[in-house]
Amino acid sequence: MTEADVLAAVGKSLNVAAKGLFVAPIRHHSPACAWAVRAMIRELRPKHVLVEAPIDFASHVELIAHPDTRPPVAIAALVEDRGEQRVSAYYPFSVHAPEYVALVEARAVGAAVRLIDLPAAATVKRRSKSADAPLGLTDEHVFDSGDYVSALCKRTGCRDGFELWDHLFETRLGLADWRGFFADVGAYCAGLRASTAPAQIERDGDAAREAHMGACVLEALADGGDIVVIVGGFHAPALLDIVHSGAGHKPAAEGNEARSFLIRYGFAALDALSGYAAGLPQPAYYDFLWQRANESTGEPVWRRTGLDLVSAFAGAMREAGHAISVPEQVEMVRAAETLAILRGRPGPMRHDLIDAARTALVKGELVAQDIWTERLIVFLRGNALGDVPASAGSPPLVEDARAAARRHRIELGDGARRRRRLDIRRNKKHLAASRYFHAMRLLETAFAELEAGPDFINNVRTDLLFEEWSYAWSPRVEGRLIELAAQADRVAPACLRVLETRREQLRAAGQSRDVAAMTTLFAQGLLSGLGADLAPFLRGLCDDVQAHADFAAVAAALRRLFYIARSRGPLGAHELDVAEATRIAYARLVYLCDDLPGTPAEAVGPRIDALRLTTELLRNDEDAVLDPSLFAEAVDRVVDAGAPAEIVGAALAIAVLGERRDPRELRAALEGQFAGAVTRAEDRVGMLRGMLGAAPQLLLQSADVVAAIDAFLAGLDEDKFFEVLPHIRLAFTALNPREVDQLADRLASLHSVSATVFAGIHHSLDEHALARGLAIEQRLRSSIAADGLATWIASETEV
Amino acid sequence: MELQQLAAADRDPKPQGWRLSPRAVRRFILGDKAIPVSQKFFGDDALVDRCIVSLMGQQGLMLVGEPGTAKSLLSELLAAAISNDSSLVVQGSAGVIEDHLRYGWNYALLLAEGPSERALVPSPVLTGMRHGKVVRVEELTRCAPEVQDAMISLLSEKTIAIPELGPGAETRAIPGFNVIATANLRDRGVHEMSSALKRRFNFETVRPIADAAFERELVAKQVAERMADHAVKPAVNDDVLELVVTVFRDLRTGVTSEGASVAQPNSVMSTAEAVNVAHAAVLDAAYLDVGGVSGEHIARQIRGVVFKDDPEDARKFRAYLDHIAKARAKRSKVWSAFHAAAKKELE
Repeated sequence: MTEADVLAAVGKSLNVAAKGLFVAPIRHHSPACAWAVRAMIRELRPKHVLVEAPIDFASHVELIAHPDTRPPVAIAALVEDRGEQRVSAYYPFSVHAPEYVALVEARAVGAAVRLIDLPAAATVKRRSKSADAPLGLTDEHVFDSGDYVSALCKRTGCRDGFELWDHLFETRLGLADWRGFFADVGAYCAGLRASTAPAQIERDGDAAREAHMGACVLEALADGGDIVVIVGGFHAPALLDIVHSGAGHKPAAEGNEARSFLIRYGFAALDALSGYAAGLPQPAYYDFLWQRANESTGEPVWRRTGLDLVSAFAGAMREAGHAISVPEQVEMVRAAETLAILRGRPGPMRHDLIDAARTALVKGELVAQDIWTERLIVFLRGNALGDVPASAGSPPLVEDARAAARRHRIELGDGARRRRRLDIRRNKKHLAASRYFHAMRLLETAFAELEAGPDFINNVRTDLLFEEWSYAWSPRVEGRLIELAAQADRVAPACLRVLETRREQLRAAGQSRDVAAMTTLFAQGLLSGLGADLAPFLRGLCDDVQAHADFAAVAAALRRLFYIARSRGPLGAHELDVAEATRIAYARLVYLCDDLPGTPAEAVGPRIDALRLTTELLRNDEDAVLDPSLFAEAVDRVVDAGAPAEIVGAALAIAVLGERRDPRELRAALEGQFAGAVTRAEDRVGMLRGMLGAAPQLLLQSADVVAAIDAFLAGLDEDKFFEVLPHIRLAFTALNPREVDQLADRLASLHSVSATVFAGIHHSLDEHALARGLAIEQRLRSSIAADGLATWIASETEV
Repeated sequence: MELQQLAAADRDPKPQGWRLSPRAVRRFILGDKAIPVSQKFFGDDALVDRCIVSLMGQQGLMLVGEPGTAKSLLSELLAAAISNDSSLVVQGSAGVIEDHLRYGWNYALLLAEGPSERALVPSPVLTGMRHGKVVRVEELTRCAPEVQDAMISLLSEKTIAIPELGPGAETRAIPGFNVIATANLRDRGVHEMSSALKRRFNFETVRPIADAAFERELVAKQVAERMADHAVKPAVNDDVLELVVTVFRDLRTGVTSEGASVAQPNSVMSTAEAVNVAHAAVLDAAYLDVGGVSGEHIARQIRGVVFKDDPEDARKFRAYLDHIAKARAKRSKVWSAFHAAAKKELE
């Protein structure tokens, strides 16, 4: 017996007629297999139809076969993972999936349906290495690799397993002889199986699944009547062995029941190459073949199908602004048809079309993947979304999200990415839509992206009037909503739950005192339109603020809350008493002022910033929400408390600015420190640094202060000057360029020169070089003076 | 020989003017064990399909790609299989003028007899049109733009008018005529193709051979062919061939088979260069040494054949030796000989 005979024998053995058993070896999502399965069930009218799908999905069978179900749909299984219910596996059905056709036909002929694979959870636990990416339950990588496939490819001139499959089997779509077809698929799969190492089969966990399926088949056989088994071709040989030996094994149910939902699925997700490894790639193409076969109730008119695909592609490209000229279309069709003839196919298949596009459309040298091939592949992938009947029992959260989208006139009909521009300040409906988008973003559904517009969270460009969103409904959105479904049944409570969870995470990470992050969460909640629902969250936030010990952090939260309270736009929260929260934060801040004298060195900078920002905030408080005198008094206390010099400088400056203290007092303090006995040069200017950090405008307002600084600098000898220079420079960085210019003018007038005398001089020297140069000059001068030659240079300096 | 066998066995329909059916052309180029026909072009079967299909249509075929990717070989094979004649070729260069694409004159006859068919010197293109054969134009982008422009009308009209022979005298291409051009779009010193000319061609990019085993097979075969006339034939072991091909592939792609990255030299590291190195190494071993070809011979030749005068390339090659070859030298004798000799050459 030759190898060919062996394979043929395997093909024939699929039909164990004596027992009434018919095994249909299939490839997932193959239209040709689906066609043959349909013909088979219609002819045999079996008593049982057994389908390779997780046994715990049985409750969905009715729904999948429901007339209102419009594939692509998928069963999403929630599996417990690290204490969380996560969508861990998808089992997709397309309209041209043999499994789907089997379920529909079984219902039509009144056959009993059984799902025979291991429970989804068992497969997930065994197979997934990392639980981060959901698993496709229709993995069939064996079809695309292995020695058998490569040898056959070489023989037939195909480039890979996909082309080989199309060449051998999809070309037989619509033929009536299902027996011959399955015999050949069976022989092909037996070849695949024989060339796969047993170790790999064991590793993939196929043996356990096959034992389970075999046991189910045996059970059905015991029941009597004709049985049709729809099973992945790779498993068919093993399944038959089990049936013949009668040694199936059904492991005890280990509480493995996964919660699962029937959800809408999309072509993009179905595409084997885009992630979940589910059958054949580019589903829109196979969908088109399936339609054509149905229209002609038999073989699709292949040439016409190719022509229509090319025209449809050209049409889609024209709409996208990449028109294909008529001669190019002609050449593409000609090339596709001629390639099909050359390769011995009834009409252009997928690879012929892709080759034809490359021949006809690409001009020039290919660098990597060319743009036209990519466009054609995207076109053949399609972006259609399926639909499930209302009774599918999607979790209420999913339905709520969809209903809300419809309310906001957001298109969910397919999976294409769309853009929407929202006038959030003038149009109430637009604002509502924006809040919906923000809510979906908060839920991490990857449904909508804010492409442009005001960023209220980071306070960037908040003056913009429009938000620009891009969005696309995908199975991933639905999957994420299903994960959240256990926690909430509507979008708003789900958002609240997410906020609460994040806050708990912050607490767990030891950042419960991160009130700035909390206020950010609060702002996100407001943008999502949670409004009054945020009241408990706000209360929690207030509690946190009231218990907070850091001056700078409370100041930041205060600032945040203050501007939220004033906001009339999308951040507006009329239902909430944010003003009260602001007052609470303010009270805490005032309370914390008395801690300022004990400020540790590393906190000085942020606290001085906080002091300045709070002063500015109080100046902007036109509605007098806050009582500025409280802060002023507290700061006043700081001055007298003997704090670090910077803090005193800052506090004093604020007090002077608030006209609670005399500028002369500040002058005296500055002079005191300038002249004081300090060990480090930088301490000499500490007070100045604090003053400039908190109230730089004082330099311009108070002649006393300027005079003090001027006198201090004039009084330094050159050694001392170089010593403090870096610290002075650092202190003056608090000024903005305009203030620097004004100060320069003022100082210049004090010394009766013009500031422009200095302004025109620019050196390409850096700071260090200048300092070194000055030091050298200084040494030179003292050396000359030491040699008694001071007169040499005196005349120069005198002039 | 093979062509005759193929023609004899050819039952498939032939396009007008073709000496073989498209499937037989495919078999001629990609091989068929049943007839038997050897495989002559490796790497990309779909590319060959597309080329054949392009030549059946109205468009010319333009093969582009890096130097040394066997573009010319493929065009010769196609012309030989389709027209049983790969000799109709115009070699593109800056010196090519329009006459080389149309026709010239035998001036002695022209002066003696006046314009006549006898005095006419047809170009390969004109000959191809008259006999319905595939014409090859090598390095089309090296031709001046006005000469390239002449190609446009030749390809769209498929007619050459010869007004000197009288009004209405013209040659119309008979079926079977088509043009295969090769071009190097990335080289320096070439002329950009006009988009009008581009429209008349279907472009195919010939890539460096992707499959290492194929490349080894090809190198082995070509070296054997070149050594056919030599009396001494030192043995070339598989591991030596493997070494040549691996070195070239690593440097060409910038990644080793283990995934380590390699600085790519500016020199062209094509299969053709690999053949040259292997051939030179064989000659070295045959005439200047005793015994078989070793890694040492390869190392001695690779510098002269590939890394011409670019000091930057020498640096990259040294880095390759230090980081990749050295590690392999610990495991393999061939690599160890290669590494030691190559390091010595670089000093």
